[in-house]
Amino acid sequence: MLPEEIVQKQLNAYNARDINTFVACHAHNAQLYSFSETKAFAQGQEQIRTIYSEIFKNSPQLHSKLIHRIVLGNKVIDHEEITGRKGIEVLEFIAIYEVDDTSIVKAYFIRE
Amino acid sequence: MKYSFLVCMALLSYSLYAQNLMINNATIIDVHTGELVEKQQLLIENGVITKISKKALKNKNKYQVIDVNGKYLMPGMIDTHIHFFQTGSLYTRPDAIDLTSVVSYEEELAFAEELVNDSFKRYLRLGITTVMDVGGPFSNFKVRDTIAAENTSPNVYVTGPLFSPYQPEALAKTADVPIAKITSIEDATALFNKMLPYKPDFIKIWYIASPEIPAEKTYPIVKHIAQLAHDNSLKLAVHATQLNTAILAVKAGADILVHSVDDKEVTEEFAQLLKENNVTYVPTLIVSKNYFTSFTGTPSNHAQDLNFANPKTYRSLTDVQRYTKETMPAVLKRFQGNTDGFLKYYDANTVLMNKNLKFLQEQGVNIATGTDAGNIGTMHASSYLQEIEAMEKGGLTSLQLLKAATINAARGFGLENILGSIKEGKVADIIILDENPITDIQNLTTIESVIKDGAILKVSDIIKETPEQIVQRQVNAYNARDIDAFIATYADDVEFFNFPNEPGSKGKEALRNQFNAMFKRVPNLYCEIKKRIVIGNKVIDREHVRFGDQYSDVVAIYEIENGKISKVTFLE
Repeated sequence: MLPEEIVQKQLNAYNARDINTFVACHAHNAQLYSFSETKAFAQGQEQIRTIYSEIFKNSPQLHSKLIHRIVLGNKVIDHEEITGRKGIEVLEFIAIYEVDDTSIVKAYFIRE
Repeated sequence: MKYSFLVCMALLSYSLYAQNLMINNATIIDVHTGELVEKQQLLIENGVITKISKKALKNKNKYQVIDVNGKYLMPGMIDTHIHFFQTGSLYTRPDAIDLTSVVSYEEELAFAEELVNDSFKRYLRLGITTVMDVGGPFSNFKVRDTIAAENTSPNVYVTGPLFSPYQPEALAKTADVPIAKITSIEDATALFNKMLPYKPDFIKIWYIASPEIPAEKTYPIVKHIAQLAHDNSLKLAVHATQLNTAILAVKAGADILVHSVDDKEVTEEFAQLLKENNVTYVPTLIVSKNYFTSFTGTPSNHAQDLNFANPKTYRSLTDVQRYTKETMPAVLKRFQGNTDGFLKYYDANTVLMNKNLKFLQEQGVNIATGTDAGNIGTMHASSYLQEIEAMEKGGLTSLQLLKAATINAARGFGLENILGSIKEGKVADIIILDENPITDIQNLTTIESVIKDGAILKVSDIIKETPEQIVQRQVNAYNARDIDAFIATYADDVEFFNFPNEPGSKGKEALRNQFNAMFKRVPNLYCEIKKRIVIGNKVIDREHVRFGDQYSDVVAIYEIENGKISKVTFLE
């Protein structure tokens, strides 16, 4: 799969709140970072499952709208706008996904 | 008073933000004589200069006091020839070059509307406190009555659509046209009557003459419009670029000629005609060639444009470089490659315009400065000094240039009682300079602050660019390979990283050395932004860079703090 396709599959799973597909889009050892912080806030599929299943469960109207996408080699940069997340009206952020042949290896999130 | 209505309207528009101020130890440049009047005290009340005195003034009402010892005060400058419906971009005149497949005219007009407030700030920043929009759609009145009235802005004088015997098809498609086709006395009267309730500050005729529409044939209509204007105490500005057309325009009643005569040398008789009729001549020297350099993607990259033009607009002037031979739109192709013929034409044109300007100046004709800003390649505000430089090359002295930019311009539009010099009773539109522009006109770049209607504006506070604008300005300077303008967009302690956080170079000086060498080495350097994401203070650009015969693709994440680029992270 192309990097862009893997990221899109992840985004679709997010919008469907399909935790299994969502987790499966990430590598076994995938790491999630806040950009400019060196310590990952989530490491590995199990931690990712814990964080996102909580979000999916509490946010029935969850939706991520893709505003822009930049693709450069194995990196996909998405500008996303999330609505329906519990406790947050609109969440705008940039995600930089690093992708290998099959899944997301690392993701860096930039908030406004 | 003949133009009392104009004066009333003008004073009305000054009252909104008018302030009180006391200025001590001023050296005032008298633009009538060129003399420096030293050690002056000024009192500004409700935006008007109420007192100028050699003696110390009592600050009875506890006004804000500033001491300007060692600085020079001159009146705010006037651009007598601009168009707000045009942005200056490559896409702003589809009648001149049809690139609507790249940027539609609807998009461009929406951008023009968005740009107005941005242009206001840039005009003020560069000491231009008054602008005359000599022709555009009816929305011009909204620019004056709403946008200018509600924002910090120069004084804005406007008219509506140009009366013209010819209407370019590409500009005829919108509901609110900038140029109206007028082929009869009835047409003229109808447009005039439609415009009058909006209170135009003057009237403009696009006196286009060609073998199909000779100037003699349309003369009766021009004369009729002049009559209508004068009956309503309105001045008449006319676009007439041939000697014959200009003579007819003046005979019909033109008060202002907004372009040079550029087909023939003007005569003593012509100068006499202008003087007898109190006609102001606005040479408008640079606009024409700017079209051409935009079509070839080779703008002059003047420091004023790189530092002060709207960055998005200026970017469009190098858009031509995006294309390869294969992908270039057909309309652009004929301007590329062998450009000698075009350049020769512009050189000869400039020689003739300069000769006419110098002659008319020597003959005592009232000369005023105007840029025609908004036309392709002629940026709002930042083109002004370039026009002055062109007039200087034409042979005008610094004092003559200052007069043209101030009192002559005011006089041309019947505003000499309120604008154009620093005098008691006039509006307090004043520029404070570090250096004297009479010794060197380049000292107009040393503006320290601008007083508009009595409110003092520090130059560093006037333009507040968005993170996107700052990054684009940096890209423009990169493409211009102008190291100073490039470095100016960065913070002193800027840090570079390779994604995600591997440190690279640090500090402005390292940056200067690194890029200076590259700018010198790679003449065809060109960075195209393929995609851009903006979030808060971060701008993420997907850049496609031409570097000799190679191309590289990179993503840069820029972070902006306090108006400067403070951190850059590259992804390759």
